[in-house]
Amino acid sequence: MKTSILTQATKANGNLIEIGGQAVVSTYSNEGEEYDALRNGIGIYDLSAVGKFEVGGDEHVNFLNELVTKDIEFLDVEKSIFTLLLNEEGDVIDAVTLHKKEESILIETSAAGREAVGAWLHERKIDDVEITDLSDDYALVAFEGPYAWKAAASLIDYDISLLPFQAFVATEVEGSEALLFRNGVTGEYGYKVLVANDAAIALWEKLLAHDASNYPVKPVGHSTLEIAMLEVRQPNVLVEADGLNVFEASLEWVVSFYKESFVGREALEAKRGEGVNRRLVGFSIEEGDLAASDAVVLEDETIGTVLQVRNSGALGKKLGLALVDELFSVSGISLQAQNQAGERVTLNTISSPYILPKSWGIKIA
Amino acid sequence: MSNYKDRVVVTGIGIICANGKNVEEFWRNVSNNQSGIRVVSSISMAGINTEYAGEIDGYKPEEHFTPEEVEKYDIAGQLSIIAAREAVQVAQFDLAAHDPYRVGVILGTSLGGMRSGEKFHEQWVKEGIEHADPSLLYNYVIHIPVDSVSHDLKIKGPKSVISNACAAGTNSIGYAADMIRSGKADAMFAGGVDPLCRLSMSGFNTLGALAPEPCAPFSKSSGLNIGEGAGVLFLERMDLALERGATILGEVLSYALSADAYHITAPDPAGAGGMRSMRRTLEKAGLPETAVDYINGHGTGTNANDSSEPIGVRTLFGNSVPVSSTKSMIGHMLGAAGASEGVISVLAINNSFIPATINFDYEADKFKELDFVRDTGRTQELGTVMSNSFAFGGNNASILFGKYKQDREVPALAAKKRVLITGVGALAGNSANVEEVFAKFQAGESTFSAIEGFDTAQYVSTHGAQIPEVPYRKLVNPALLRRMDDLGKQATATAKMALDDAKLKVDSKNSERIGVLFATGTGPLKTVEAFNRTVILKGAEAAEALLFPNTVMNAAAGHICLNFKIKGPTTTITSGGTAGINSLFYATQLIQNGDADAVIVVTGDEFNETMVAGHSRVPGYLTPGSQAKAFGEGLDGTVLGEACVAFLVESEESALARGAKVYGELKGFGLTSDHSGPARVNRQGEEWSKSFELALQEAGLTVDQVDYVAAAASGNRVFDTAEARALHRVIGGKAPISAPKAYFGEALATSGMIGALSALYAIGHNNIPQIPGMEQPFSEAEGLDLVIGGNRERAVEHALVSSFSFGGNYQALVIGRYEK
Amino acid sequence: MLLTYASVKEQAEKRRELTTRIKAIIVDRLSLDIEPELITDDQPLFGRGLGLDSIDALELTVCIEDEFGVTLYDDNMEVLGSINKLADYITENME
Repeated sequence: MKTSILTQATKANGNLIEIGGQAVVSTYSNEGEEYDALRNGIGIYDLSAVGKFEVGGDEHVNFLNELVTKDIEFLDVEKSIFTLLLNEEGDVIDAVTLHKKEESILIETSAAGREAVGAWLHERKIDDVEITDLSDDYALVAFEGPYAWKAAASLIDYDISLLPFQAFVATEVEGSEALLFRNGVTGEYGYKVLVANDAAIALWEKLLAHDASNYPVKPVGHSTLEIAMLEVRQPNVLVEADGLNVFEASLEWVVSFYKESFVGREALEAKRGEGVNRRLVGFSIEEGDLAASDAVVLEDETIGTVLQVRNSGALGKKLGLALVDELFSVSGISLQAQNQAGERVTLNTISSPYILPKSWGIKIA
Repeated sequence: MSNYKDRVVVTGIGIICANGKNVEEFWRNVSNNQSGIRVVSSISMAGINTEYAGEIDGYKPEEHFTPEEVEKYDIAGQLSIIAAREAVQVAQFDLAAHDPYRVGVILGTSLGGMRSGEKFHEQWVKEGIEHADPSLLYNYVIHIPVDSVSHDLKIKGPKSVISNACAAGTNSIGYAADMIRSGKADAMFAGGVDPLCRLSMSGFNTLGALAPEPCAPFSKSSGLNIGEGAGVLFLERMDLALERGATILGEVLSYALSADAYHITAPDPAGAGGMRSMRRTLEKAGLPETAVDYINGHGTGTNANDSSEPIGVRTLFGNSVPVSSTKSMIGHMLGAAGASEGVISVLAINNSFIPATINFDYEADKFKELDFVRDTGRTQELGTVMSNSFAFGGNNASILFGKYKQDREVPALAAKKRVLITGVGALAGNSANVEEVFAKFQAGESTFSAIEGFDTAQYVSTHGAQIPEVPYRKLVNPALLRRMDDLGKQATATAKMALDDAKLKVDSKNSERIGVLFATGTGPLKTVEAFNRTVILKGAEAAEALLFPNTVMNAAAGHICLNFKIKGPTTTITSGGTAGINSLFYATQLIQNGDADAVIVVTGDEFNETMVAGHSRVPGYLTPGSQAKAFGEGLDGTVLGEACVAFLVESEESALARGAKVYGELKGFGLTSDHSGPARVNRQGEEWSKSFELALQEAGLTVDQVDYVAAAASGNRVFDTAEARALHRVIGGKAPISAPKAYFGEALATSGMIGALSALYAIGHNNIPQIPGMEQPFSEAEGLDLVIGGNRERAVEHALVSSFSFGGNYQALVIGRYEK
Repeated sequence: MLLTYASVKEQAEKRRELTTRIKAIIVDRLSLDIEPELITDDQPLFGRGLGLDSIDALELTVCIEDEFGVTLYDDNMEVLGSINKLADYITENME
């Protein structure tokens, strides 16, 4: 597996896992500490493994608008949008964020989807479109948490409160040209910085050195990030939607159905026409053991499968996602799962966001 | 110095508001840091989350007017007259001795005669339309204040109304100065007025914007207090003021407008809308930031304003310039706010005194380093004062007043620029675009269809000119569409058509150099009616937050700027039937003054049950028939129409640089008014014919050079008579005349633009559209060369477009074929 | 406690009725250009997701009051976090 320059410089004693052929730190210290920083202070994380593709040329907007599920015709310069890339069969290739610059659009993929997106762009490329892979040339440093804006404030020369969510701005960071995005995945205030590798390392050090006397400031690994994303149902698409269609994965909201033409549209309409028979639902459990693939049951009927189970730091209990018959994919009911030991575990279906992000009660001052 | 002719000075001021019924009382209270915020007694505050407003203290109309006048004038008209009378008195200007055509009036207002309108509406809703008093209707239009002023003071000069919400007062003063500099007037009454009324009170209430107690701008910021009143400045051309020995109270140095497009996103701090207007006004006056001695801020007291305005001021000026909010004393007077603040600025300069931000909550002070002149005003020499108004809907206006200095370097006025029309868009009766409009002209086909959308049994009209189904999703940003009412959608769609037609793409390089002007006769009547009806029937508590933003006249302009991210100067003109032509005039001024390279001028007017119901109560206004017999025998009223027309207007330089296609050139404007009074026109048509003369004069043409006249005739006997007489006086039989309202109905302001569109059609096709369906002219029109029985094939180099508003306003335009 | 298929099914159906009704009301009252069934139970409503803003919040407060007799308070941001959260709040407060 490949290790990026930033990851190499900052992994410390973190344990590495492989995602999409790239090395990603799963935990730096331990989940408890990292989660605490993310939800109560500032959690810093390394997005080196994600794909960063710059698409330019005269036709780049129409080209991308044809490939993504959301309508980007009116996307403004210095604004970002979260959208899906589907193939002709309507399967999800990846969930990506598009960042619109004056003459081009920057595509930020997930780590797992990086190669597939790169390949897809090249396969569908048309004339008057240029595609540049910036993934290795630039690092993407992210930080989220109720006080993340305090760290971001020093990165631009005007009031940080004036940068709206899903907007970005060109600035200078550690002596290099950079882009500062206000964008997060955990429900807390979130920012990302796209900058050259050496400046990224300096930025990482600087962020780590942020005054931690009133709240924790720590690097956060992939594992904690996934839990935090689950807690607010930020789609972890290649994990959750594996083998599921857009409707089963409850991703309709990431599609502009009124858009007349995009790759996968017909397939989606067809699937919708066939009916949606099963759907993801979130749950928590008070006690018992549970693992992915355990069956979800009621009396003797199997009505679904557990897809993932994680520990939620804030809730002090286990959270998860299950794929169940459409009828039961509602919040506020109790279902059962049959675990490996043959025991019945009660699943309580719950409503997102599963926790109340502290950021929602804090104003940027 | 030889620049006296280019400079505009203030020689008179007048005011009536919460802190005083005249300038003396007002200034005494202001300089004593007195609050005029009081518990309201003049209107019902039921269902409103506050008892307080900046209400005039015990206003008694009989103290200012005869019983007859009290009957005649709506309260907004009354307040405007009071302030205007005081202003001209202070100026010691003898109106009777001056050419009345050289003195005009521009007032800003959000509500106009809405107090009368509310009464009419209540009667209608509770007792039925037959029991609603039509005299209230005559007094309800938004241009009632200016019509009242011209009636009372007997002036006939250029008249207009600005309705870009809270920026209207400041904007009006600047526009009036432009009017004088353009040579169209020697003196202007400029200011604003707005009454207290349930509509605006309920609207701000439902948005949670009202303060439960007296407001505390820049500190506690718990909301705003609405205020009422009128403020008027009497402006004169400096050389003329000096000639007559006037006492000069100050100078209007410059002003500037900008649009927010709602987001404060740009990395360059100058991107913020308010900062743009502040910077631009300094640039126009040739002054650095350091020249400003005091800023009268917008300071409404809402959290949204009070947390962003100081940042803009601080970024531009640092911490040293005192900035105070006088709304802390008199409340937010909406359309009159900028006007009262203009009066305050002049008083501040003349008294060397900076008024305070009173009711200051020190514990809630968020910008301790800024000088808000907390609680107590102070003495200070003031050479230059800036007044800012940052309006609802993202309209910003900043103006600079200077202490009178006879000799002063000011930037020279630019050489006269030629202004061209380079893009068109339209929605009108049975027409989904300009091609279809032209096809009607070509075929001589009127567009009236039977009304099917509502039951017409109680009304006079049976037909109307109606816009067909439009695929708005293809023309407007879908994310913004749901927030627009019909008028907003139509305005945005036609703006897009015009931009596409002109092949002008808006991007970050040009977005601040493009302006947006919106003009309308009755504005968003459908939304206003719906909002008001809920308030009347269910109380203010039930008022709908979603509707309120669209009840303001400048909503459509705001939607256009937001949709295209246009950040240049923007405003809304609501002078009735003349608003379309007036906005074309204003566009030429923006281009002339270098405020914009291109301006999108959009006019929109609705057709709906409310329009038909209201006009049915005016005897003779509407015909029950299926045609509008403009100038025709047996004319018995008009047919209403809905329409929306957009022009892209550009400087010649900009058009040539882009290689743009040119439809025509704006060559001359004639702006006059009469003093016939609210809802009337002078049936002799004298002032109307003067508008033709002045337009031709400015275009440098004789009557023989006019190839086509697009008249404003609509089938209404009173108005068509006046116009026929006006045409006889100037045109006689020398030019072919047609009447576009016979095609597309009476669409008020938009009819003026349709007239202009017919001129572009005639020029482009060398073909003059006939008056469809006319066999014989009516008696007054006999002898005029009306185009009937078929279109007239003929070379058209110059066309004259006529427009009018009842209440006495006439604006004519000469459009010519463009030759390099 | 034994969870029977039948009793849970009934509960689930009631819940689904509620969320469906909420979606229909929102689409109607806020003039949203989307079919109600394409709104998912857990998606974000404000900012992104459905893209509602503060004026929509005011209108939502009024229509939830009108349709369900339940009062939404200014400081209760969590309730507007998703259709599911709204449904939870209405269920709790409708008794």
